[in-house]
Amino acid sequence: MGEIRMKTCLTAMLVVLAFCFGTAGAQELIRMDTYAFDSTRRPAAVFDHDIHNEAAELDDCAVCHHVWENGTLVEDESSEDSPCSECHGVNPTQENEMALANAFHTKCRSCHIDKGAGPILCGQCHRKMQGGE
Amino acid sequence: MNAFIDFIMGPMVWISFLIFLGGLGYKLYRIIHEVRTKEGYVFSYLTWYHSLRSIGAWLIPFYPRATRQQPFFYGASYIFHLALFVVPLFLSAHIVLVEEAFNVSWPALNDTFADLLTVVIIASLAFFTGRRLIQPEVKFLTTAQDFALLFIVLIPFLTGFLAYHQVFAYQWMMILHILSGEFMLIIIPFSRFSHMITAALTRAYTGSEFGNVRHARDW
Ligand code: HEC
Ligand code: HEC
Ligand code: HEC
Ligand code: HEC
Ligand code: HEM
Repeated sequence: MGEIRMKTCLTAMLVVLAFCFGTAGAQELIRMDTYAFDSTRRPAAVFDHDIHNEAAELDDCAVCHHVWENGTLVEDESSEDSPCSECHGVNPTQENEMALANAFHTKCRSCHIDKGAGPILCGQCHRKMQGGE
Repeated sequence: MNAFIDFIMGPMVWISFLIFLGGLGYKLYRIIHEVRTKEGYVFSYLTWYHSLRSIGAWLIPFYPRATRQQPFFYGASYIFHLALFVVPLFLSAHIVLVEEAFNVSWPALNDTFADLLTVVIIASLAFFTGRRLIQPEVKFLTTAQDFALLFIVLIPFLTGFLAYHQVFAYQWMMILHILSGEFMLIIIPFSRFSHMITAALTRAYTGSEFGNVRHARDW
């Protein structure tokens, strides 16, 4: 009797362990490409472009991929062919005072605050790398 | 939840800083007003020269004799106070938030170094607590309030450390961190933490009395 209980226990533990490792392996997060930064302080932000925009119901590309001219936003034009770093320098410049990291933070967090959904704390975007990532 | 977090990271920061700075300003005004009405003669010998001389002498590590008699305690105290100001003001995470709000920024500490200083602060607080528990002449003067104040400083640093490392319950750690940081700022003017301004006044008074009246040094 005691032996059966022991075996059941061990099997249960193995199943739980397998489940943990299984989900940990499956939990591969899609992250931002950070090539534009010379060096990084934080793990790359979690962002799965198409899944994100579908879940957030964002059809208008220009919400993020905007175009500016002479200090004003150009309506009905978008810049999805350019990475943000093409216009936003790692450090602010005369032409563009919005540094790259700040451009991301302002864009991403302000919408998440307005919509009441999506991450707004550092570690919710810059999630710690899990083993194997 | 986002609305609540936004509130404590936005308006609540303003409220905390207003109470902190306004409270200290009011405290300074009250003290000067009280001395003027009750012990106005103090102003007859108070001088800028003797005041600043005493403040300066006490700012130099191990220059005053008393500090050399207790090198371990004062050593810990110097490092603790320096890190206490440097870490929150030059932490990259805090600067990122300021930059997002005002588009101004300043050089940040390396994150690993800030992390190390945070551990040093936590260790210093443990040392100050141990000292109050063990050393008889200090234990004699210690009240529950002293431990409460040490605890109030500990929490923002401990939760900031745990949040940075994303050890567990990240969101709650962050909420606790922000609220405890704000709480600490708010109670500064109403607690012994106000020694951040009154310590200078004590030195000005003592420095002037020793320097200008007794013609002696007070360090
Ligand atoms: C929530 C904001 C957001 C929306 C909405 C959005 N994108 Fe993007 N997109 C991004 C970000 C951020 C990147 C990465 C840019 C970078 O690395 O500089 C990106 C990258 C891209 C890239 C790769 C470009 C490159 O040079 O790296 C393409 C193509 C693209 N998006 C197309 C689109 C299209 C088409 C739409 C509209 C259907 C769209 N995006 C809507 C945020 C958004
Ligand atoms: C074609 C050039 C260009 C591209 C590409 C571009 N931006 Fe901008 N962006 C600008 C200019 C110019 C400004 C105005 C800066 C200023 O006020 O000095 C600006 C302003 C901003 C601002 C502040 C104003 C606002 O809209 O809130 C944010 C945030 C921002 N950009 C985010 C992004 C992000 C995120 C991306 C990539 C998805 C991006 N930008 C891509 C040119 C660009
Ligand atoms: C215009 C609004 C908007 C902008 C801009 C935006 N988001 Fe979101 N985001 C949302 C919404 C809405 C959700 C919640 C979606 C849901 O219901 O799951 C979300 C969810 C997320 C999530 C949770 C997981 C997921 O993919 O659903 C992540 C991570 C995220 N956003 C990252 C980003 C990053 C990084 C940026 C900037 C490059 C960004 N978001 C810009 C609206 C936005
Ligand atoms: C909504 C998502 C989001 C949140 C919340 C967020 N970030 Fe970011 N952050 C980004 C994105 C996207 C980038 C650009 C790509 C990257 O570096 O992952 C970025 C870039 C950065 C960078 C520059 C690149 C690097 O790693 O050195 C720093 C530093 C940074 N973030 C720090 C922070 C801090 C500190 C906080 C909290 C106060 C924070 N971020 C909150 C999305 C976010
Ligand atoms: C006023 C409101 C405050 C806000 C909004 C705030 C915000 C933050 C944020 C976002 C982080 C980064 C957490 C992460 O990496 O995920 C952080 C870390 C930290 N904060 Fe604050 N903070 C505040 C007040 C304070 C105060 C008053 C102190 C200390 C006196 C403090 C000390 C720290 C420390 C020590 C860390 C972690 C550093 C490390 O271990 O590397 N914060 N804070």
